[in-house]
Amino acid sequence: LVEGRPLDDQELVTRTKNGDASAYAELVRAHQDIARRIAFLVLRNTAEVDDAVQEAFVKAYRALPRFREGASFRPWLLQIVRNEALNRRRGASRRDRLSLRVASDPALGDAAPSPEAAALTAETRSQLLNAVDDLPVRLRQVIECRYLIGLSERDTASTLGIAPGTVKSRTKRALDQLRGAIVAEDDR
Amino acid sequence: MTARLESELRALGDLIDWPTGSDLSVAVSARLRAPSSRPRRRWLLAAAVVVLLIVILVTPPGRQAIARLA
Repeated sequence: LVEGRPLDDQELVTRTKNGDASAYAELVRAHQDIARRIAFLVLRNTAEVDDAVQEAFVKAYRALPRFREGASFRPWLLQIVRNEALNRRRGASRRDRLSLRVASDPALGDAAPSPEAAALTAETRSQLLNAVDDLPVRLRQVIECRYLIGLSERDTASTLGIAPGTVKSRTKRALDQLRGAIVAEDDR
Repeated sequence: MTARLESELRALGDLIDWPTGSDLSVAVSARLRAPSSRPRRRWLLAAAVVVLLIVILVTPPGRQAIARLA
């Protein structure tokens, strides 16, 4: 902390490069949750997530000398996390479907979801989740990064290693397919 | 309708059963402090190559093989 202000990624990266180990620990703490989410979306296996994320942080540290000064740390890190998860997933054919927290049902728990989340009915939630899970993988990845994790278009592009224009077009196609799937479900 | 779908998807993100865990910074720091085996492995490989070259150059069958190639 500098005068009570938390250090931003840029400062923490510079300090890490200068040998400050506590600065890297700070970066790990700041990004471990989102890194876990990215790894989980690839692996779909909670038991393997922490190992993959830990390895990714070690690899990112060793790659820091090659990290471009002034670039954004988070998408760079998330790309390493994703690659690590992809390497570990090869050979594993089982893929768990995304599931919702039990406490997300207002009747069952006292967790405080966002007002928008609270407004979603249980039926809409599972319908939407299944529709996302059934999307072709390239479209699903974009929806997961953009909406379920909440990355910007640019960070999604960097994390997935594709052009921002591709993110845009895949998002549009994915939303069209989701809309079609939901309408079809409603018509049944 | 697109805006509503986008909003519902964002809301869904709040409700997913994301994996949680302990602070990884301790384990990562410990891994980074531990001496890496990679440089040692690289040295061992280099040493093995040098020994192999010496054996080839010093022993008659090795020299003959090189002469044949030349």
